[in-house]
Amino acid sequence: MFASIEEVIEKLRLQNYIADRNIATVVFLAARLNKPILVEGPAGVGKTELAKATAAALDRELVRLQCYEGLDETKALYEWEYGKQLLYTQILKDKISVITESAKTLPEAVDLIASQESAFFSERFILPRPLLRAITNEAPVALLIDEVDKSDPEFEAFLLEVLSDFQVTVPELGTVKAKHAPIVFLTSNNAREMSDALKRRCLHLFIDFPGVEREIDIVRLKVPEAGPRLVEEVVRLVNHIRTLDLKKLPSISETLDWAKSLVLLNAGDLDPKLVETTLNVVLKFEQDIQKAKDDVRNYVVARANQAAGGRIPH
Amino acid sequence: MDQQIVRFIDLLRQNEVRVGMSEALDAFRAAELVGLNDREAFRAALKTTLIKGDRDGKTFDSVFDLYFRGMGEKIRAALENPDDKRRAEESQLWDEMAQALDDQEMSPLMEALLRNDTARLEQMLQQAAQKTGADQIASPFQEGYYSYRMSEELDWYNLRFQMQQNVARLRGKGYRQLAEKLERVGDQRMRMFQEVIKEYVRREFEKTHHDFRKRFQEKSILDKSFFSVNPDELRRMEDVVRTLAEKLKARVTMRRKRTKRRGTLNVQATIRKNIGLGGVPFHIEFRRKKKERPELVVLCDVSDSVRQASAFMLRFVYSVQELFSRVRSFIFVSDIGEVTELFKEQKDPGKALEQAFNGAVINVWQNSNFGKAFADFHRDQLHTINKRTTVIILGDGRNNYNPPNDWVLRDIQQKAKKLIWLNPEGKRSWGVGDSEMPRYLRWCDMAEEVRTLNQLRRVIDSIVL
Repeated sequence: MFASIEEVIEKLRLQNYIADRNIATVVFLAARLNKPILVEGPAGVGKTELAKATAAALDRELVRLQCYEGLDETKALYEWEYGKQLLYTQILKDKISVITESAKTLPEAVDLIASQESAFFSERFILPRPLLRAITNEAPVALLIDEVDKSDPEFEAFLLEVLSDFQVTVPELGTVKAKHAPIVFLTSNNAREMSDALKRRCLHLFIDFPGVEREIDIVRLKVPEAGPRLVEEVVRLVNHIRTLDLKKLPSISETLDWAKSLVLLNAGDLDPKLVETTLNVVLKFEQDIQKAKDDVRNYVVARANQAAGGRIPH
Repeated sequence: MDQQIVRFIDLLRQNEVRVGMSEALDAFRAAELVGLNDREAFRAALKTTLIKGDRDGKTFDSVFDLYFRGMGEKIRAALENPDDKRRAEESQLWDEMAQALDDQEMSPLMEALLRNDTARLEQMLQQAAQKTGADQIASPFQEGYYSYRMSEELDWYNLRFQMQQNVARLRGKGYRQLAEKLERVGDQRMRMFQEVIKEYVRREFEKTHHDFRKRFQEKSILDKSFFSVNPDELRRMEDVVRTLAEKLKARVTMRRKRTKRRGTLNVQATIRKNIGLGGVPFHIEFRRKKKERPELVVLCDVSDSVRQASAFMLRFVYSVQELFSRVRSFIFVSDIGEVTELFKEQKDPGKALEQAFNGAVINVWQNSNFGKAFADFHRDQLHTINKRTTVIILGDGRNNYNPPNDWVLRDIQQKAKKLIWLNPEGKRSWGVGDSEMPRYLRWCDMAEEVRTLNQLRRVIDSIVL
């Protein structure tokens, strides 16, 4: 477990994740207070990445549950293995007739079978899904409930029990309590507003686009083969693009992709032509590309002039 | 520390942030874990435990700054001379005076001011605010009053007299330069401090009402008549339409998701689900009934008199068009023309409106003729109306004494789910002069006066919810 906020920053950095103080504080508190974190923010700013990095930093297994519309308990929590149960009944047919042998009437036979019920509704026939696995695991885990906003409100209500007490109820078996409280991350892209009840149980973390400084650090860390000048120019340009009125703003992941592409193209610096041909790495809509093209070209030219002006004294 | 957090949470609540008991408890535990010394972590700890959505984030930020930052920096900025040399000179003033005069008859406030004792000044301001009740200020109109009361409490009106006395005493003892310096510095500090007091009172008010002005404006704009807005308000109204539309969409999607509707048995899904049980249908699957989204047909009068109202109507409808299965819109003065495609092509509703209203679709310079427009609609479009369609007509019903053709409305009402008339005129003038409202009203399921955003919102709410 983390002893201080500094340690969180340090350990996450070792996992190639650069956390600012805000993020680190929330992770630290979540670990200490045993509370889930609800992470919100635009797509591609590293919400899922944070969960992965934290799991690795704590040396825990990451159990991941991807949410989608229609996700229900049988897919998220557990399912009875009907097939296996059926198979066992078939194989054990003889054994069953032995048990029911002494019965004279049908009700008696049913009673006798009923007394053996627990053999069939035991953990043997249960198929654990991510949530149950996260709770019953021998070693503590990190649980990532990804894109929880895509799930139905019913599922969200069901999550409440898991998140507040780290326990789940299987009607046939009783309540299963976590051996170790997992550290839980829920991510949301705000497709819909989460319920107050869920929010109340979580610490809230909003990850926004990083500042220029932090983004430069991130790109340096993840794309070490890119030169410092290229990294800075790319980050500054992306930050400039984010100020434009576009359908989808580029995120950290797009910055990283772009830096990688430019490295592959052996670029040491940005020039207008190169930017124009690779703009589709950063912008994902034709409309956006058309809209941003001129602006970006002007920006790149202006930056280049500035740099030249700085270097060559008149 | 707990005391401070309690007060802070109280302030958040007064700013309409919902903070529950469990959140408050979390905040205490979190604050204890990170401590007060690390400002940034402390702020993050409170924010993550108390604020559960992006929406309240801004409120948190400004209230946090107002509450925990204090006035220290502000006071220092106000009192200190930006010139380094001057500042050094001024800082010695107090000691020089102590040397020159054996007893300095100065109030604590004057001393703190001359010594630039920010912490002491802040403390005095706080005490004065508590004593005068300025920390309970409830309206921006009280700012002047409380500034006055605070000044009085701080013995402000005595300061000048005291200073004059000291200047005279210094002069009397022959310290001319020092006297001048005191006069200059003291005068300047007093003036600045007056500003600080006002600022303090304003902040006290903002603590509990941090975005008062904006909210006040938004509230008033909702009830502002379309006919009396200036261009600036018009732009703000457009913003408000957008937020109203967002809110409505969120509410509708929540509600639609919540209602569980069972339809007929879904045989395929049932068999699939029960294969593991040897095909015995233990678990039965139903088809989900989808709630039908209403179809909307809007007829907007765009003659000069009601154009503004029509513009907002169309803007609103197109901001929430996902809520309808289909939206068709027509504009008319005397001729009637369809603008559905125009709004589809133009992503920006403002531009679409501009094109629609400048005569590209219909002749907009004629005199209103509802009767003719209705008759044309009847001839060309009546067959497209079915029992899922809600028809909204927006207009003042002033027909220039032309034939009203109200039989068209009868036919529409018979075929449509609902026929709604929205009139930007007050109900009292319906039927006066050339208004044909009473005739048209007979065939309407609902007729409302719509001259403000609030009224418009209510109507649209009632259609989609």
